[in-house]
Amino acid sequence: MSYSSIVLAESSLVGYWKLDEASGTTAADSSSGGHNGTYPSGVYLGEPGMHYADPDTSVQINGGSIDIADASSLSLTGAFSVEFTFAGDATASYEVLASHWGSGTNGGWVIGIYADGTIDFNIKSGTTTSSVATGSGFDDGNPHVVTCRRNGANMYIDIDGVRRATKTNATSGTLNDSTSPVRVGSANLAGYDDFVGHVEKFSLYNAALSDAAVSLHHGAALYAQLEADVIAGAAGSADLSVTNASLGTAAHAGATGGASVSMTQSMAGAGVAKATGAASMGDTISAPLAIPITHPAYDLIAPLRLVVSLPLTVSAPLSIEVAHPVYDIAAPLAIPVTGAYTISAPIAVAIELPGLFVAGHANYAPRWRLAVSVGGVDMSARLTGTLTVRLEESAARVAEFALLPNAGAIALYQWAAQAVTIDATVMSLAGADQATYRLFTGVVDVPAYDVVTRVTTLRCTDGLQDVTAAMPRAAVDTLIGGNWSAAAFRADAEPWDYAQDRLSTLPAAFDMDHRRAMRVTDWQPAAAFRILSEEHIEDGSLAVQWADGASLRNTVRIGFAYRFPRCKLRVWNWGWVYPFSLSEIVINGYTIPTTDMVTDALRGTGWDHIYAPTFTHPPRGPIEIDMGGWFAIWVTSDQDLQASTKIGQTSRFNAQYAVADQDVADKLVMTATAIMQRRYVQQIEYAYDITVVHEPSVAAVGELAEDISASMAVEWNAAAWEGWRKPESPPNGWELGADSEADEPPAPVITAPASGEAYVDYAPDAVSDAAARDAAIETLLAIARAKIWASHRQHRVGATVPFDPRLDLIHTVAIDTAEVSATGKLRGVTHTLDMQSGRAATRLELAICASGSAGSADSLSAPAAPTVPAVTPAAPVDQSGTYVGSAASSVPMSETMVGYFTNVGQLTQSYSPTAPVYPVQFTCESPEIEPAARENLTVTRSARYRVALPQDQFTVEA
Amino acid sequence: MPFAIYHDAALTQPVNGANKLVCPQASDGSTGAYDTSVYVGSTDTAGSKQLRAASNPGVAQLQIAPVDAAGGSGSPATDIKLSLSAGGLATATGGAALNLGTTILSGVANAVRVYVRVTDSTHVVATNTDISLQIAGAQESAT
Repeated sequence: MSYSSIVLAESSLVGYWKLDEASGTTAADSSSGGHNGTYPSGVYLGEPGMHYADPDTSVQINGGSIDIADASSLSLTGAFSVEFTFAGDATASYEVLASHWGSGTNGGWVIGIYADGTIDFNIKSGTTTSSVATGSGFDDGNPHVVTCRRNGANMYIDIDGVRRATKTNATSGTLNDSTSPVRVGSANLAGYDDFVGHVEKFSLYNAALSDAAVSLHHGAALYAQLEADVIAGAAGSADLSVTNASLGTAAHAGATGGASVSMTQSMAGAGVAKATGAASMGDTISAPLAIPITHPAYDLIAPLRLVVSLPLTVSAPLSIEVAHPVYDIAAPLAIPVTGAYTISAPIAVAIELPGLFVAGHANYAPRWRLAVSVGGVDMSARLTGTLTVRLEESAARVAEFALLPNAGAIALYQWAAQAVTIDATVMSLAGADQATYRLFTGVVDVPAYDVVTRVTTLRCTDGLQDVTAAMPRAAVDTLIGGNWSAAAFRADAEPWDYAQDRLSTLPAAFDMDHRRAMRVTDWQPAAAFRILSEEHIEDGSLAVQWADGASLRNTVRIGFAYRFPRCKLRVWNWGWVYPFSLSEIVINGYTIPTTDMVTDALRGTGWDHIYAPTFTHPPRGPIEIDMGGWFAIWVTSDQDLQASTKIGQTSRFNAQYAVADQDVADKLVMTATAIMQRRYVQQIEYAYDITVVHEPSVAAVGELAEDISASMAVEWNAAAWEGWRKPESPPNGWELGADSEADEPPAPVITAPASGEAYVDYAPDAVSDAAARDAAIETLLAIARAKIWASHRQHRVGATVPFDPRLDLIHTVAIDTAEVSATGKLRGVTHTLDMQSGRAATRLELAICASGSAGSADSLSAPAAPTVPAVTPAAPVDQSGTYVGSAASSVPMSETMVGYFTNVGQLTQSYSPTAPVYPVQFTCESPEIEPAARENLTVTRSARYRVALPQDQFTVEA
Repeated sequence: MPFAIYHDAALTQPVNGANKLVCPQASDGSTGAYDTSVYVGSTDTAGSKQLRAASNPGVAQLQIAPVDAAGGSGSPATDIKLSLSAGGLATATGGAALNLGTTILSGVANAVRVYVRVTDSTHVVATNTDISLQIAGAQESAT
């Protein structure tokens, strides 16, 4: 089969561009996808092909790329493969061979070659990029078949039939669905160089090709193929010889001079075999070549195809000979057969000092002696009864022993808190000391005296809690690690409780070793420290205890509330224009508002100014105003102002209102504008509804849930922030036309927008900011995982073995008997040594974590914050009006009338004695803050996390 | 699952690098020989697969043998005796291969138990991992 026919037969093929066009600009898609590409300018078509014995041509790219428009079927976001053949001399720092790539999260995958000939393959999920690279040297100008595959967290690069690079911890997330075209020879992106060289046979697959498929592709591309039909012979028949070979122009099986080539790879399911020989390029086959297949341990499938390894010159007939077939050759009959292999089982011969370490040996009876020191005094000679040392996960190590009394008074108070050490020495069968092990270091906790037996019993502890209680928090942090949040735990917890809080976020145990060194041990089992079989375990001591359903938790529901202030600053652009000219004002006897009237009106709205109001003023007098046959003279004076800017009428020559102060006009207002602000706070609550689940357990036994909750609130004086006002200058009012720079506002400082509203979600310190919020959530997630894990490791296997003082809670032990097969971390160890009988035993208890399957796991990172619905500020009333009273057309005042109120003069024609008379005043109406923008708001975020659990070996046979 | 060598008759614990066949011995020889056993089999459906010698399937014997990967150091292969019965260990030859038959069928019930006796001859405190039990030239196929 040709390379193309093999490729086109792949079920996962989504596009195949042979790039063998002789002319034109279209790169045809030979697959059923129909995604034709476009050649760039400057490309050379019809270049010599690079596949062996294949008439197809290649293209030479000299910059630019062969673009294939993006399409959904070309979006390879899961498992996928890219394959092509290229030849080039990479001269730029990084030339792109093929890509579906863009900037940022528009990047899907890209394959390139560095200047040293290293080929790398990159994939991108979100902002996470995973890369794998080959060794150097593929820029030698020779053709190379490249297959890049991504499957889950695995990435592979195969070149010329050889695995060149593997990565097993790549991102397994969904890859970005790039909207860029699929490009051959470029990424069309800054920082990426275009490829210069030859390319052909570019193909894409929406699955990871199998190793066998890759091998087949590469073999077909680079090596001659020898195909022949193998005809079945009868059972027990003589040699079967097939001489016909549908050859290409030349073929070779890897050896010269007619030497035989042995099959090095047995039949695969598809009936394909590969023979690799020792011949090198340029060898000539000058004699008939026979490939004997002796004693095939499989039924052959017709047709048999041999893929030979090197393209050589052949000048003699070739034949395939299948000799001594053991079985019938019937087609088609597929029987999977492995190649010959070796099954191996490693042995560890543990040759130890006599005594202790061979305690599990059936022929061994342990011998031992103890050394017990209390308060620095050797009490070994007074030991009586049984000594026990009990170790339990996350608890104090406890020892208990009895002492024969000395003569005289018994003073138990002397024993309390005395230092205690217990050492065990193991001996050989001959009684020689072999090794000494510390079993316990601690203090006397409870001394007791039996007046009947006259035996003093000392109960001792390693003082785990007391030692922890004396530790500063920083030391606890370093020792235990884990997560902690004031929202999840008591901020003022004592050190012991604080340590327990941190421990509750970890799948780990916290205790002391035999010398009182503190340690944290993962629940995750390690390699077995000891493997215990029937020979090691005391008869009748093996016990299995399954976790009870009542304590099982496979789901933890987390409720978390985060309350914070959203500080908002809304801007109001206000203005007023007197709609009358100065002549109209004088003629009609209108009054003119003063700056104080406007400023007071604005101040009365409750809004604060960003910038002081700005005004325009009437011109300064005197000005003659033609009144139609007579003249009025426009003047301004302080007297006018005190009379609410009454405008007097006078004869042309009456100068009784001479100008007293030219600046008075500057206190009268013809137009006014102001930029106002309002500070207010909306209390927002993020309500998180999070579920942490171990799916296999839920599937097996249904949901067994536990609820935990916590909350966090930003503590802050919102009223002070809302009530702050910009200082006024001069003291009696806003400074006219200038901004006051005095007194900075309290935090948070919000830059006023030109219009509308701006806000800041405020947390004044790290105790309750967004990072603290996420830390609290992640602490709760960690607690949930630990709870689920803890409840699933409640299965227990116990056994008693001959005394082994090495066993500790840090160890993993395997039990392998006919009835029970279990591997788990030790959760309890009890050494018992009887002074009278000499019996010494160690009781073990394994914690077994089992739920059916490990399940999937998600990263326990806090979810994104909920989205707060946007509130668009209502359009404010930006413009105040002007209302004239005492005129026939005047209407009664109403609440909807906002602005400047004046009246026509009594001597004017418009005056009506019966018309409503308005108080001369200036009013402003401030915009209303919408309830939705200021009332307390709760937004919810739901999230679900999966946790995986280790599956310890645990089978029990009846 | 492919054919393998297991610790247990249920074929749940393969003997491998992480779970070796541990054979304790006292350096002074006081413990005497250590006896244990392993199982050769496959957990695939009983009778669906077979293990045979690739050299002549169905005719040649499958053989398991102790192999010393570090001759001259560690433990010698002759410290290992193999037998198809507990009683056979007494007459087994240290280091000798053991015939397992021409075919082992898959299925827990068809697993072959191999008795192993380890007798340390080095008398040197160490954990020697140079020895392994091997079934070479095996070939797995459908029945």
